[in-house]
Amino acid sequence: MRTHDTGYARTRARWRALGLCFALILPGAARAAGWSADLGVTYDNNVTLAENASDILSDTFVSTSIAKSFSQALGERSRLVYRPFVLAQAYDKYDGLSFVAAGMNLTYQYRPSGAVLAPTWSAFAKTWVEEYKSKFRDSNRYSVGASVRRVLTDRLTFAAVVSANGRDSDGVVWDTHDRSLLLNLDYELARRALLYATLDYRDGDIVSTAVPTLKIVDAANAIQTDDVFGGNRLAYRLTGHTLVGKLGLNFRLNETDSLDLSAWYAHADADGGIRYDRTIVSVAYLTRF
Amino acid sequence: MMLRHTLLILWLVLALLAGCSRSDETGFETPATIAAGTDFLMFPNPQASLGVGDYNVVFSNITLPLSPAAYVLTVIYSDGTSEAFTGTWTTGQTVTQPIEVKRAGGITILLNSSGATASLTLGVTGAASTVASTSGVNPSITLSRFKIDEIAYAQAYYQAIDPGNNKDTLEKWKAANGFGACDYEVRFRDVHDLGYGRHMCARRDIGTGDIAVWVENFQVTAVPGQNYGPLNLEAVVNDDRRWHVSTNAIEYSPVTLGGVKFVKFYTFTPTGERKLLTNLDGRGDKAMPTVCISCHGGRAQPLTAAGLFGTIGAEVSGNALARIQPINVDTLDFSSVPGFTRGDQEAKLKGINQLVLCSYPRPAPTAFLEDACRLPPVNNEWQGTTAAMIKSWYGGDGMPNATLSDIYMPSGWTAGAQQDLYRTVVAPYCRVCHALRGTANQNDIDFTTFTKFAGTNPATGYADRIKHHVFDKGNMPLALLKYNEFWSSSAPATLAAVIPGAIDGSGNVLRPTRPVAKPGPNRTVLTNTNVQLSAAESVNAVSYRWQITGGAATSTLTNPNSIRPIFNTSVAGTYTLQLIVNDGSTDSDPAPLTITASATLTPVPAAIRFVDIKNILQNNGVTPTTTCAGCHVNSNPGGPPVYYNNYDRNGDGLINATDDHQFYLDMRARINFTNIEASPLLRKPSGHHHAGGLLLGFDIDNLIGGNRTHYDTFLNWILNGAPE
Repeated sequence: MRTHDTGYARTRARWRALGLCFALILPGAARAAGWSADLGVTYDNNVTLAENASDILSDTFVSTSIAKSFSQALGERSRLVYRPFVLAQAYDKYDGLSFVAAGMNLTYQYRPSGAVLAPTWSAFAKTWVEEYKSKFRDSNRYSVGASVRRVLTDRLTFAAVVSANGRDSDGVVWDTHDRSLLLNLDYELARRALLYATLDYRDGDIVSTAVPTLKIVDAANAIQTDDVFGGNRLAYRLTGHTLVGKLGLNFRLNETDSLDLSAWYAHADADGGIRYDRTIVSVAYLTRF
Repeated sequence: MMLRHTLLILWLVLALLAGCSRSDETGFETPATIAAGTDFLMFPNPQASLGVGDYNVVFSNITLPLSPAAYVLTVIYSDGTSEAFTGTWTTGQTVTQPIEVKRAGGITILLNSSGATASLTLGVTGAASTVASTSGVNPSITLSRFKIDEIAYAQAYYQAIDPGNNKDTLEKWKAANGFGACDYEVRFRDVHDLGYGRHMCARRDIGTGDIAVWVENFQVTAVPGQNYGPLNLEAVVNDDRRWHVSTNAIEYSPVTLGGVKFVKFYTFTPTGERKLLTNLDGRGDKAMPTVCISCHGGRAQPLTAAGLFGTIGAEVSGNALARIQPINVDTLDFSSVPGFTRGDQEAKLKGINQLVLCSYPRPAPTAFLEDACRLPPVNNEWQGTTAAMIKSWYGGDGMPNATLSDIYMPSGWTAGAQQDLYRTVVAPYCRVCHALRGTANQNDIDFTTFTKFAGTNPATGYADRIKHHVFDKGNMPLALLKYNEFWSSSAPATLAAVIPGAIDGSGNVLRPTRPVAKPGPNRTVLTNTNVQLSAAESVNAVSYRWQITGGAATSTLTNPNSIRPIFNTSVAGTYTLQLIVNDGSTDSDPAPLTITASATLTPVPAAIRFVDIKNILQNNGVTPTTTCAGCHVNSNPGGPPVYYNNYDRNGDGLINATDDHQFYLDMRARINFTNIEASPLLRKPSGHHHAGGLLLGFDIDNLIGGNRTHYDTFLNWILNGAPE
């Protein structure tokens, strides 16, 4: 059983390691770009990712993040982009879901030509640390993958991303791995308005919290207590796939600020015939400085 | 530059993912509410192989090709401790190694004889007889912790109830019992018993009246801490075979055609092989049939000298006097799935209870149809009130009601608080096991009256034993599920209100997780003799503090902070001592011990042998008119099922020393080495729940003059390891 003291000590160790990494890398980076930050409010109608109505719980959270990019030219057509970031979410009802995170995203970008319609190919590695109020969800996370982004017309931009994602947590259920294929389309509605649509297919581990039933117990790869939701609910790691559709509208307020409205719908199918649906609505204020 | 950054990034990823790897927790915790070493589904007298005491391991070198050579003697005690002794020896040499058994239980003795053929013997120090012996190259002796909980015990049981080995698989068992379709088939979860999902099938043979029941147990073990929860009901209703963990089977039938019908227990693996051991509550395997009969009204007699399943009184070997439990439908959990609801299965469950009733003896004929299948009692057979309880569940005689309603209240529980005690404590936590216990002529143990249950007169009431088992030792309620349920309820407070000493000075109910000092029974000793005391019966104790609190100043206590200190005095008289134990953080309440020192004791305690015990049982006038053997005689099958006369105990047609040895073993079986003062050999003649009452020479409560000479002889014999 982890004590608070040990937990805090480990948390401090992680942050120190992360800070050391940044300190080692960033002085070597070249040109610094600006800061970006956001502040948003999100409603999630199924934070338990549960199937049965009695287990489905909703919540609202406030999120904020800040990031700064550093770019290193590697030649005429390629560069490295370092992007350290800090993120926090605070939940209204289920405080254990609240967390702070910090990490680094490294992207290698290659563009075969300077033509407007030329695609941008990227390979990225992202790693970050999450510290939750829940004692089981604290995680080291990583994501590696590749993407392509291409302007299709003067209004339409397409992007595709494939990635492999992993999570190493203090709770066995949240030790997850999955693979993702994401397709995104940006459409410039007007000079200040951008409509975007995203389709994300994920194959791998799914975490759900529910009162135990034979159906979910039989299907689960791992089971453990969940210190967030109570009510005899347990957390389960299942194998399955999730399809996420997202529709968003980004409204530019001025050269540096914008307002972003988005709605997500996720449908998951897990082993054992377990399904869940989830809808997320978010509004966020984004800025660069 | 690019290479530098790439390497740095790789280092970052590795540092975070490897250097800060996460521990995997599940959050499931086991509540620490059970006293250390507690055995559920075990008899209060578990028949420990050895009592606390001093023993000698004697080993002789019979042949040794090369000499001298090294030997290694390893002794492993059942409390987990061990010790090793080394030396060299030559041909013909005998070595005697004293050992000390600090807690009652078993032992494993291994002799590495360096290739020599050697004899190996274990015996009580100072006694000529041996407890166990063997010989060979690297000989070993293993005595199980409990004689009624070992593989050999289960093997002997099956040999007794299935001598032709015709039922060693479930399929064979079903065939032997005529199973095609079931008379009654139900699925439910027994919430308050073992917690399993249970698929039960019962039938009664119309021709013979034999009854057979098999029960498939479903247990979902995927969720730690919830192995006995509602998922088991889903599993049994869905017939999810991955969670089918075992099948139990019960017969009410004779071993041989035309013989006395009795209840027999089997357990099988999910694939149908008969099992010798089974783990019903997640606390480890236990031997058949002990794990079953401990709560089915049975008795567990150790194996005979010949390794056969022991007989009880005049019964055939294998008849452990156990019963089939009725099914209290009110305590079960049912599914809402059509076909498996209570309503859908109520009639079938009533049918099964009718079959159970058929297996109970009928003291006298009745006009009621449900009694027609019952047989007259045999010998001193239990009769109890469970038959009346089953009838009451369905409206009384005639069983007119279709639906069970448990409003049963034995007439011995009068109105008001007593009935509340029965409803909230006895019925849910004690009745299932106790109602099937007892014999026709001594049935205090069935708790069918308030006086039997909570009576403070130790001759007829069990208040003192309830204090010991529930509030001190914590081995009752007997099933783990019941135990946890009990201590999560208000029942302990209700019970403590009528049990003297169960509430501490602050008004709190005592819990068995606290340290409890148990210095053993008050005793009479010889002056100028080292007397080894024992705190082995203490509960949750890791350290000990003994102290002399009264008596002549000449008395001494050697090693007063040990589990077995030595008391000695040169002056006859009464001495008081106290024991305090500590569990590592908390002291127990002090427990007193009274020692009476006498300059003359006949026989001398260290010299007491079985012949002295036998002499008292057979020849001493324990009442003005008779001896123990006057009632306890095999020619009186209607009397108590323990015999003290000389007779052909092994059935070989002779009455000789072999029978005398078996007599000794039978008496040893009436010793509880884990709780000496609870030994039937001491409690019965001293007037505790004894149909013969208090006997002369056993008056430890000073009721008939205080003469406890015989009691002290018995006690000192037991404390010395009960040598033959």
